[in-house]
Amino acid sequence: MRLPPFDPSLFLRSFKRLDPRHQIKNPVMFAVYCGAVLITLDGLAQILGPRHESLAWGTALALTLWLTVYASALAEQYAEDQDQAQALALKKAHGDDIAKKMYHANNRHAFIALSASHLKKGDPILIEAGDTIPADGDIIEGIASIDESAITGESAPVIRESGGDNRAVICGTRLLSDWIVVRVTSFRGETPLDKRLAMMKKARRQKTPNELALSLFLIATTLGLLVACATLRPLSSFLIEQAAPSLPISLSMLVSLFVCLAPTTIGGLMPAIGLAGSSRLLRAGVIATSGHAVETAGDITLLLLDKTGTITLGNRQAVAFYAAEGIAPIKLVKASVLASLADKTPEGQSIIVLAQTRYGVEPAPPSATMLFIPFSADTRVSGVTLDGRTILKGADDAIKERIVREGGRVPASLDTQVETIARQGGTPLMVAENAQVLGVIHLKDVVKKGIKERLATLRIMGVRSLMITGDNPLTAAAIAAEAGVDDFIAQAIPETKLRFITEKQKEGEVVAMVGDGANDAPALAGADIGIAMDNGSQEAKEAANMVDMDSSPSKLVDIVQVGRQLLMTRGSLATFSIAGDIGKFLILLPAVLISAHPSLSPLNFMNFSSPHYTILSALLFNALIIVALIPVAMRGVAYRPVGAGKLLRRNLLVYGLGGIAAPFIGIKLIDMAIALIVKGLAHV
Amino acid sequence: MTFLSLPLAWWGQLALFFAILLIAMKPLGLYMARVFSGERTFLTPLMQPLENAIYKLGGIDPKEEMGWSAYAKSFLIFSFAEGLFLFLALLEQGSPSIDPHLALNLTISFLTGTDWQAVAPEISITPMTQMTSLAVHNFLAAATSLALAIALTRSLARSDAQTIGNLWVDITRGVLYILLPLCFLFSLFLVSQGVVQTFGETVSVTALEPENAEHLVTGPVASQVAIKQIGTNGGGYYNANAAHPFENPTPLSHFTQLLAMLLLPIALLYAFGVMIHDKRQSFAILASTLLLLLPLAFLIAAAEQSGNPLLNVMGVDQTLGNLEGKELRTGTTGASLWTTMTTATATGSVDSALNAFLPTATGVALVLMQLGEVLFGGVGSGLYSMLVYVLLTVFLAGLMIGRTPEYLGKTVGVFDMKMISLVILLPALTTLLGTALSVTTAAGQAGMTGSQAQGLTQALYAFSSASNNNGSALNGLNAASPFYTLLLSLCMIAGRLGIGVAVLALAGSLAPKKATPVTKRFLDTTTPLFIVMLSLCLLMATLPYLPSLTLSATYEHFHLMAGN
Repeated sequence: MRLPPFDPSLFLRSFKRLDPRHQIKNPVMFAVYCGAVLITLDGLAQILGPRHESLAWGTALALTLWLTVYASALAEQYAEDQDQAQALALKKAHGDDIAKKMYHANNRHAFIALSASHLKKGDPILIEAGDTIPADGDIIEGIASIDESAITGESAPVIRESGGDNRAVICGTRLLSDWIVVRVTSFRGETPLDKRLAMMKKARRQKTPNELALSLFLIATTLGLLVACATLRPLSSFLIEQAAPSLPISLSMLVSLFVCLAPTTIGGLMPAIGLAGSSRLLRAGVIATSGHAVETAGDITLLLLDKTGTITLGNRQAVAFYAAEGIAPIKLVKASVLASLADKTPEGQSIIVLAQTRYGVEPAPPSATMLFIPFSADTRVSGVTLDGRTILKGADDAIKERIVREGGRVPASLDTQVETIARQGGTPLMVAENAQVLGVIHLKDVVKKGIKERLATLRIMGVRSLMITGDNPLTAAAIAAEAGVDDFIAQAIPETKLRFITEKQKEGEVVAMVGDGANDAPALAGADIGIAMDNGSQEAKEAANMVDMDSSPSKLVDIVQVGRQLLMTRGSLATFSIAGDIGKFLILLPAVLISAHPSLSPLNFMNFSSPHYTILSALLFNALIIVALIPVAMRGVAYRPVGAGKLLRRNLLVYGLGGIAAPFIGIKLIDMAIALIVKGLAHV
Repeated sequence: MTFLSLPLAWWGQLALFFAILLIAMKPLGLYMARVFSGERTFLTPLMQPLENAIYKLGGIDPKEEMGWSAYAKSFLIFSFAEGLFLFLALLEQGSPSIDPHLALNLTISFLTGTDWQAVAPEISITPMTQMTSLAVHNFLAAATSLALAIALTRSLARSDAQTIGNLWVDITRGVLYILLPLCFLFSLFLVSQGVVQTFGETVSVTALEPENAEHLVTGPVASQVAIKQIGTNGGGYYNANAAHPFENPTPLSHFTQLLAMLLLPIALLYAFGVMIHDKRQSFAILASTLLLLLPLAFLIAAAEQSGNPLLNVMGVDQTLGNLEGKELRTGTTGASLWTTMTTATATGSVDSALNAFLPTATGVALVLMQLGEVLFGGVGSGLYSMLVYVLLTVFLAGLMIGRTPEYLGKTVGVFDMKMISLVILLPALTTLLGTALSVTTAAGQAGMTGSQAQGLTQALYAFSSASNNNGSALNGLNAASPFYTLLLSLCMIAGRLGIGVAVLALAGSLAPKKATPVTKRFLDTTTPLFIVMLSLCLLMATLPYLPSLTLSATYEHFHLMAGN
C-alpha cells in the first residue's frame, strides 16, 4: 500500500491537538505533555529567577519535548485526514440512488431525476425496467417483475402490482420489466451510507477491548518508570560523597530520563493505528459500525456464507442448451439468441454469451424486421417475431400452455430434461418456434469469480468456510465444490442458520456470517461478525456490524487481515517501545548519574561525549522515531498468511530485537551529529 | 569468569540438585494434583477423620465451592484472624517481651510467609511461642499461598465456571496431606543429622573462658526448620538461621534443606500441568525458569569464587573463593547455591552473612527477589506470580500475531490486564518508594550501617525482600525501629494480601470464560520461542529497578574495583 500524499496544512492543523483536553485521552502522551509543561515552566523560572542551567540547554530540551508531543499529534491528524479522504472517496464511488420524482402521479412522462435522499413521504416516483427502487413504497400504477434476491435471497423474480396485497416495493430491489409508479411510504432522508459512516465514527470513539488492555499495560509501565525516575534523585543525593559534593540530579535531567523511557513510540502512535485500521477497511470498501468487530475479525475461525447473492451471483446464468428430439442443437442455440436479443436481464445476456462462447453463434444486429416481444408479468414469456417466425422463451409451463393451445406437443424426453434441471436446483427455460418446441436452456446459479482463490487464502489464514443454502443437497454439493467451500449445509431455513451459529460458538468457534437477505438478519446479528452486502436488504445491513460496499464476499480476507494487522501493529510497536528501554537505560543512566557519581564512569561504554548531548540525542531519537514509524502505523505491520509461530518469530525479530538495537544506533548517530554541529558552530 | 573457574563441586552439586528435583517432581506433583482435586490418596485413611473433624468444627461444607470474591473474603478474614492470634501470642508470651510494633512486624512477616525477623528469635521469643505460634503460622502461610495458586490453576482448567474452589478445604488439605507429612519426614531426617529437637532447658556450657559460661538455647528446632524450608518461609529458630550449627549441622543437612526449598514449588508446577491437562505447559514454564535461574546462579557462584579483589591485591590465597561470612562446612560453593535458591524461591533463610557477599552476588540476589519471586518462587506464590507473567507474555505475543490473546484457550481481557499490571507493578512501587523514604528520612538513615552505598543497598535489599515476601536480609540494617518495622509491614501486606486478592480477582475473571478447544488455539505457549520470550518479559519487568540497582550493587562494585 502506498501512503497517500498529505496536505501541508496538516502541520498547522496538528497543533490544535495539543489541547490538554484532547491530550488527556492518551495517558502515556499526557505524561510526556506534563513533562514538557514542567520543563517549559522550569526554564521560564530560570530566565526570570536564579539560573542553574544554561539557557541553550533549557530551550533545546523544552523544544524537543514539545516535538515529541507534536509528533504524536501529527501522526493522529494525518491518520484522521486519510480516514476522511477515504470516506469521501467511498461516498463518491457509491453515490446516492437516483429517483425519478413525478410531477403528477398520473403523468409518467413528466419527472425530475434527483438524489434519493431528497425523497419525501408521499412523493410519486417512476420506476422503469433496470432501475433500482430508491425508496420503500406502494405501487399505485402498473405491474412489474422485481428482482428481490438482494433482500429475500430468492433468485426467482416476483410479481408486484398495484391494488392487491403485492403492492409494496422495497428500497434496494431492482425492477426487471415493465414500469410502475410508486408512492413513497417512508421518508428516506440521510442516505444509509451517511448513517453508517456516522456510526463508524461514533464507534471508533470507544476503545476496543484489546486497545484498552494494552493502554492499561502501558499506563502501568509508565507509572513504574515514573517512580523509578522520581526515586532516582533521593537515592543519588543520599549517595553523593561528602568528600566531593556535587549537585543533585536536576529536574530537567529527571524529566528527560522519564520521557525517554516512557513508551512514547506506541503511546504516540496508538490513536493513529486505530484510525488507520478503519480507514484501511474503508479503502477495501467495508464500513465497520463497531470497532470491536474489526478486532474480532482477526479471530474468526469459521465463515458462514449464504449461497444466493453471496457465493453465487444471485442472477441465474445459462450454462447449457438441450435440444428437443429431432431438433438440431444449433437451431435451438440460434433461436435462443434471437429470442434474447432484446432481453437485457443478466439471464438473457448470459444466453447470448453462452451461444457465443460455446457454439460460436454471433448475435445478429437487431433489424427493423424484428418485432420484439418484451417480457411481461402477464405472459411470462419474451421473444421476437421475424419473417413470420415467432420465437419465444419463457418458463416451461407458460411455453407448454402456448404450444398446446396452438396444437403442438412437447416430447416426453424434454419433460424429463426439464425435471432433471429443476431437480439440480437450476431453472429450465423453454424455447419454442411457433407451435414447435425447440428445447430448453439450463439456467443456473453461477459462482462469483475469484471466490475459490479467496477461500483458499482464508483456509491458510485459519478460517474455514461453510455454505448455507436452502437448496437440495445435490445442488448444494455441486456449488460447494465449485466455490471451494470447506463444507455446506443444504435445505437450511433461516432459523437453522442462527441455531447453527450458536452451536458453533459454543464449540469455541468465532463465527463470521456473510449474508444479504432479510432472512439472514437474525444470523447476522447472532454471529460474532455479521457482514452484509451493500446491495442486500436493509434488515441485513442493520443487523450486521459491517457492510461491504462492493458486495463481494471475498472481502472477508481483507477484513480478517485488517483485524489482525491492527492487533499486530499495536503489539509490535508496544514491544518495540518497551524493548528500547534496555538501550535507553544503559545509555541514559550513566549520562544522568556520572557527573554526580564519577565512579560510575565505566558504565559509559558507548563513549558519549557529554551527558547533556546524550540526553538531547535520546529525546530527539524518541521524537523522530514516532515520525519515522508513522508509515508503519498507517500501513500496519505486514501480515502474511503463515503460521502463528512464524509470524511471532518474524515480529519478535524485527520489532523486539530491532527495538533493542534501535536506540543504541539511533542515539549514538544523533549524538555524533550534534557534536559535529556544535563543533561547527564553535568554529563560526 | 569462565565456566571452568567454578570448582567441580559446584557443578556437581547443581547437577545432582536438579536431577533429584526433576525425579521428585512427577510423583509429588501427581500426588498434589490428586489432593487438590479432592481425590483419594494413600494418606486418606489416616487423614480423613482429622480432616472431617476440622470441617465439622469449623462448620464447613467441603462440597460447597466459592466464587472468587467469597474466596478472597475468606482469605482476608483468615489472614486477619491468624494475625490477631499471632500478635496477641507474641505480646502475651510474658518475658522476654517484645515491643508492640516489633510484634506487629513479626506477625505480618510470618502471616505473609516472609519471615522477616527484626529480632533475634532465640533471645526474644520463648520456645513455646516459637513452636505454637511461629511454626504453626509457617504451615498456614504456606498452605494459604498454595491455595491461591490452586485457585488460579482451577480458573484456567475450568471452562464456564463460577467457582474456584473452597479456601478452607484447600488450606486444610494442603496442611494435612502435603505439608505435615513432608515436614514430619524431613524433621526426622534433620534430627538424624544432629539438628536439635527438644523441650529441654537451655544448656550452659563452659568453653575456653571458664569465667564466661555460654548459654546454648535449644528447643523444637528440627520441626521448625523443616517447615521453614519446605514452606519457603525462611524464618529461623535462631537469628543466625541456617548458618547456626543447631539448625544446619552437616553438608547433608545443608543439601537437603536446599532441596526442600525447591521441592514443593517444582512439584506444584507439575501439579499445575496435571490439573490443566497439559503437562507441556509445566515444562515450558520450567524451561523458562531455568533459562534465567541457571545464568544467575552461575553469576553469584562465579563472583564469589573469584574472591574479593582487594584481598587478591594483598596476595591472600582465595582459591576457596570469598570465604568472608561463610561457614566452612558449606564453603563458597554451598553458600552461593544457597543464596541463589533462597532468593529465587521466597524462602529467605540464610546460611551465610549476605553483606559479606561481593556486590555482584548481592546484585543478583536483589534481581532474583525483584523478579517477583517467580523463579520457582514461594510455595504457591511462585506459581501464581509466574502465571501472571505468562499471561502478560501471552498478551504481547497474541497481539503480535494479530489475535486476541489467549492462554489455555482463555482470552486475556481488560480486567485481566488490570490485575496483571497490579501484580507486576505493586512490589516495584513499594520497594522503590520504601527505599527512597528510608534514604531521605533521619529515621530511615538511622538504621543503616557502613558507608552510604552500603546503607542504600541495605535499605533496597530490605524493601525488595519484604515487598516480595522473601525475608532474607542484608545484615547491617537495624530494622527494629518503628520506621522500618511499620514500613516493611506495609510492604509485606501489599506483597501478599494485595497481590493475593489481585490474583484471586484474576482467577474470578478467568474461570467463567469459555476455553477455546485445543485444536482452535493459535499461539503455542510451549515453543522455544515463547519460552525465551517469557524469560525476556520477566527480565524486562525488572527494568524499573535498574536505577536503584545502579546506585547500589553496581556502584559498590565499581568502588570495589577501584580499590576502595
